[in-house]
Amino acid sequence: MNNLEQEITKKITTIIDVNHLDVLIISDIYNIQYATNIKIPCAHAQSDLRMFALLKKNNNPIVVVPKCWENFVKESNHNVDVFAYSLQHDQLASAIKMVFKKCSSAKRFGSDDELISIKISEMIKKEIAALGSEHIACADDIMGARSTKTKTEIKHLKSIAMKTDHAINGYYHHLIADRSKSSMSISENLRIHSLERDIYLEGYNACSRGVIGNSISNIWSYAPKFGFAASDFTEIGDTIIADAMNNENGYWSNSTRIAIMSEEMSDEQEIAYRHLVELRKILCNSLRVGLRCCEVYQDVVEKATNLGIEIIDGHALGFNVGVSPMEGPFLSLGDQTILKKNMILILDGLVKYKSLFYRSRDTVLLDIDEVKVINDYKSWEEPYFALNTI
Amino acid sequence: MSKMNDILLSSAEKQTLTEKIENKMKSNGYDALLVFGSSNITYLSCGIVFPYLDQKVVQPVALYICYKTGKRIIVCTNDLADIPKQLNWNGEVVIYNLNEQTPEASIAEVLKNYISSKVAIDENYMTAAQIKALKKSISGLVTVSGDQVFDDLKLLKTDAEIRLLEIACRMGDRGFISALNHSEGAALDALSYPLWEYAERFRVHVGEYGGSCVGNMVVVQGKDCKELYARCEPRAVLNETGFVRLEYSLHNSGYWITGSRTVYLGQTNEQAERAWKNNQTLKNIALKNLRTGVKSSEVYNAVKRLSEELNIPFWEGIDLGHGVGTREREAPFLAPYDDTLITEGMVIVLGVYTYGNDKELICNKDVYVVTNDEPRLLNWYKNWDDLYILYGTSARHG
Repeated sequence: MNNLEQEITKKITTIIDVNHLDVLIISDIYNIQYATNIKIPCAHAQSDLRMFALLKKNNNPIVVVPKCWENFVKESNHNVDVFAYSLQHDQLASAIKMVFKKCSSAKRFGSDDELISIKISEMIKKEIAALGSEHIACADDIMGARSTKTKTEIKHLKSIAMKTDHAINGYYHHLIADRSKSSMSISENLRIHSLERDIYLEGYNACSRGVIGNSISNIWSYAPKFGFAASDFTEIGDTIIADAMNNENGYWSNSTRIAIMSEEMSDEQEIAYRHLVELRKILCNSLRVGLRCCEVYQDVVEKATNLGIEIIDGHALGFNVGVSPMEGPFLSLGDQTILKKNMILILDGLVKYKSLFYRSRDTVLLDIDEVKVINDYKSWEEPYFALNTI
Repeated sequence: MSKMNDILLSSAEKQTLTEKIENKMKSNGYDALLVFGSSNITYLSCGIVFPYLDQKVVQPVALYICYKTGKRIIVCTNDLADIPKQLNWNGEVVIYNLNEQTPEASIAEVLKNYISSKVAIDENYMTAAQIKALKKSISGLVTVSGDQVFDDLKLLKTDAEIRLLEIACRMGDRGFISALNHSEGAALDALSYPLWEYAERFRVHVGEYGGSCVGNMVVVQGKDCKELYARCEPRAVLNETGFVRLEYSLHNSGYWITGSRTVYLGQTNEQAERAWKNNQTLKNIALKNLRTGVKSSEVYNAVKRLSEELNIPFWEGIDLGHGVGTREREAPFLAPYDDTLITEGMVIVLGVYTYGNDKELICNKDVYVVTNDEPRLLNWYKNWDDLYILYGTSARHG
């Protein structure tokens, strides 16, 4: 086992021990990746094909997959025992049957079935009941484990966060203020510049998009082509808001940065960007290990309001990142989760100024007495300024 | 405007689909529905697409429709609230704030103000945590599974849905051809061409041809081509003479297709040509059996029988095809476990994975709409019956 697998196995073992489990059945694809290092790139989109992991103390993980994914899974991790169900019978029923065949003697079943569909959750509970065994809900335990990062996870997340900032900056370097760019070209080039930095090829949620000019009056402009808009072109002085989500070693970055198609900002841009910088400072100053997420949220909202910063009502000011690009806890009014050392949060700086939305996302590592920004390839005290024709 | 550029459902087309859905719901005794699955939201709202819902990159969204009151509501967080408006949603948009411990509890607290009667829900998608939160917030909530009705509705496409899928096919083929065009001038040069760039050129060009999003993207060559998927190493380049396969999915305004295209890198040989011909033989057998009134499983079984007779083995690890629509894989499945009758109006992706000389998996998928006569090809943009040779060299010309 490599370092990451050892670290995560230790955490999973703790969950098994604390809950006195004979077996832990994991159904959520992100949890499966977390616990076994196995990731199927299209699993969330092809949900008629189901994968399950069974974890027992001091045993290799067992992974149940459809036949079509069997070899890929075996190649992904040689320390798991892989069992595949065939095409002969109903796929879900076959998978569930195989899962319970592998753990029929267990008396206490842990499960993260709260995170998956009602249908599968009920099938799992029914099978456990049929065995006369006990069902222990473990979704919160696993999400709790995921929320604080191990040494290797921090290394991976730091790497991809910085690479993504580098990639955004690398693309911005090509901007020339008086040469118009389409939002589509920006989207494409953000991805190309990410891939040039050895990130992993990803479809789906490897989001990259550039929203420009007055289109930033919508947070998700260009529906339904969120990352592919072709008809919107920059003009001199426009704001560009670039989103990029990238993956490396199974861990995600989730970043947003601003460029200005000019060597200076307009008065409005100046004020809006200052609000973003101030909001980041307030957030970093308010985040403390031991505080609840909702306490941080309330504190930040109050301070921002006092400074005349218009933030979005009810919008979470941050969230966790790890094997998925967005996960709890959330820096929101309702989230009571206590902040802990080694959480890695995306600070979702989003302010409104004169009907336009300005966004900048920082990634921070929480330590006992420090909040460290880990995606600052350059200082974002000011946005990126494009040169005029050179 | 050319029908191939008309990439959204028109108002009249939305109305047709809305009536189809409403009639089916009512005939099954359902007065209201509440769904959280991305494909159900797109289908039942007739074209509203949210970004990255399945991947959970945004907070949950719910669609509630009550046929008794005529209420049509999308419930979402503030950041997503402008999307329905951009897509001409004719119902309400209700925003929920993250005021509760979890997003599921937060959305449930808002939904309680609207749901009063029995609702059909999507148990295949809605999470157990979500239904728990709904039951806690809405006293006396009565739910029934609407999955079968939703799936039945989606099986048969309207003409407009077929058009959106046909456009998606054209986008995919044009995207793929563009990836080939970019790489074939450089793949055999000293610098060669990165595997990721081959896939990325596909994505970029799908966008340029009007696509809404690219999903799955896997590119395999050499020994990796023996597997359905393999990790694409960041520094890998097209440098192994032999088969190269791209697996992909994409959508046009919420209507997804999947694809698989295999080409040959370098000068081909007799074995490779024969392997390709064998692939076409089995695919054509599947196509010949794709007829109304035939069970989906029978299409698979017919290929299996002929495969044995002709001694052309195929990979039996995956179905030979499946339906497409607001999800990239939906019923029917051309597999032994599915006895759904093939019916006019189904749109099905068809492809057989056969073997190359070194056991590489070769596949060439196409999309067809089932008619009462022969299936009509929707991937008509380019004919792929002959093995495509990825070969050439040039100075880089951009």
